[in-house]
Amino acid sequence: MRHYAAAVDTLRKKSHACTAINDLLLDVVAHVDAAHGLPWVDLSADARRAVLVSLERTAFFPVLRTMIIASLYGNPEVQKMFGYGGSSVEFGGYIGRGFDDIDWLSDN
Amino acid sequence: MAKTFDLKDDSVVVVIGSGAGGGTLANELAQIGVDVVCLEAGERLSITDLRDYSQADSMLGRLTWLDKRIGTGDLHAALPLFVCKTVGGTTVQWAGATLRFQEHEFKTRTVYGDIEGANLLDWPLSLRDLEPFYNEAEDKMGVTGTHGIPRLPGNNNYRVLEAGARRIGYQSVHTGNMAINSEPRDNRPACRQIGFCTGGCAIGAKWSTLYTEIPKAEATGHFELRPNSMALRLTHGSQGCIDGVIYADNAGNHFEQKTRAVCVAGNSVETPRLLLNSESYEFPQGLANTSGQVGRNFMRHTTGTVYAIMPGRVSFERGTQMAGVVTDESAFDPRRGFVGGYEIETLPGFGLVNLATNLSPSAWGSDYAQILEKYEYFAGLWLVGEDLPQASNGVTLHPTERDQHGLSVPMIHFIDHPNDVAMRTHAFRSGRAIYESLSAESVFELPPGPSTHNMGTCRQSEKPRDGVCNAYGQCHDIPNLFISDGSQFTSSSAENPTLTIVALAIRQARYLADRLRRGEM
Repeated sequence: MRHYAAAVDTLRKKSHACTAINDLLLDVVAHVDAAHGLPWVDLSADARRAVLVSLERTAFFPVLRTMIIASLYGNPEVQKMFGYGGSSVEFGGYIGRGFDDIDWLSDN
Repeated sequence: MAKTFDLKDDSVVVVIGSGAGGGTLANELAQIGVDVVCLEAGERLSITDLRDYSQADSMLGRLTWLDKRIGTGDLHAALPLFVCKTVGGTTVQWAGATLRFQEHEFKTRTVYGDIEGANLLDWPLSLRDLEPFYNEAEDKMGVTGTHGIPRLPGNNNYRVLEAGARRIGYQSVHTGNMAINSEPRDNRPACRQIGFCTGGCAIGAKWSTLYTEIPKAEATGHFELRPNSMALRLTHGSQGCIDGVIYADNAGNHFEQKTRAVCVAGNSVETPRLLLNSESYEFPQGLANTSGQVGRNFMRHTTGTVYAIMPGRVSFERGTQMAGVVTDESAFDPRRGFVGGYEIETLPGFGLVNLATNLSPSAWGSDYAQILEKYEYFAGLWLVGEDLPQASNGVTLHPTERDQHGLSVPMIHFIDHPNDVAMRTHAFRSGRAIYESLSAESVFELPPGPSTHNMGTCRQSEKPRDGVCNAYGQCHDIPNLFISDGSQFTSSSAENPTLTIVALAIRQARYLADRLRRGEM
């Protein structure tokens, strides 16, 4: 949950620096609040999902998806949790650091 | 050291582009003693500028050609092609796979026959003609598995590919012929399995003209590199020969370099675009275009990517990206329902963000997040096969839209031929079978990305009516104008194109130097 909050926080910071992102996020909030008669925060998880499904084909949805992916999966803490090693040049590469350490393949 | 030439010096050969074709050609000419001015649209980075792009500070934006282009057909119109605007061109970004064409791939019209919708043509040269130059190119580039150079060690992603491929009966599986040093060679170090090769090799283990051909050419005293120099148009005299190149620097100042001969190596979009943008009273269809073939027959390989979630950890970002190939499907075997063949090569994801963005381009939600949590278990391969030339696939000029230089914006049209679709379907099945043989939990088939290889658009032909240039890349219509990149390909083959571009550039350099020596230009 903490990492999702961090991803949202990254977006918030971006929106302060960029009017277009700010407008886009305001538009998203307006849509999700209006979609079901109740504000987003009061919706159940299922209802939230239904709202998002209804917005899948909007122009902003793929943009929002790309931004959330970049901020969530670009977070070094998340990458560490996922076992993503990332850049290795500063450690001399993956030679001697597990580039060929696979252990579950049988020999036949 | 690096020499400079006067703009009015009409004894120089101008090479446009500094990548696999232009960079190699320029160095080969300079080594023979021919004076060369090389115009490169992009900046000159140093090797210390190259970092991997595993994090947000991507090198891609800095290397990629991002000038406006309009894509139509099956191309992802808004996305860039695999073309670079930087000294070294796509050799900065390429993965390093260095395979020779097969004999029949030079004779596609003869071997494949007359296929509806395809504009097939035999090359005016054969494998035998090119073999000595393949040998030289492999030696120059330090290609593993040739010239006694050991192959690279296999990384985890390769070992999954190898195990699966063998299990379903493939025989020819190895870590590839790679222009990446497996041991120190040519004053460059051995690969350290850094990964992210396509962000640029930070240690120079991968061959790139940026730190091989270009400095070697400079050391001859016969070569001047002009970075940040965008060729705008070629000019010609009353005899119909090219006599100058007009280019712009970053500030928009225009210059004209006088010249004896011009070699164009701007990749398969910019090369025909320059010829078309150089139209004149004498050449109203653009230069070297009496055949009408300039810009046509654009090929980009039939590609697809397969990712799989394996039963054990793979960590596929670790190590050389493309050091792994299965060549069994590259032969010609029409019983499979298509002509031509394809290679199966290792290709990991390009980092966690990239995988999340592209694995399933519109997917989201908790199901998708759970798939991505299996990141460490992913294996990946790339399918790359011959696509057929089609006359309507190619590059034309937009009638009204202009770029920052005032030049007509290129429009790039590409649609799959039914043969391409049949091959891709077969290739996806093969890729899936490899991973399923090892009990993959799920397999994902990703459609072709925007960035593949670029070939054709100014093809070689025996007869002037069928193509743009001859077997040396010399234009049929204009003898002192040469096509020096993958644009001259008559067919695409199943193989990654760089080795063939380099071999053709070496061959062209010898031919051109010989003609110059005899005073023919």
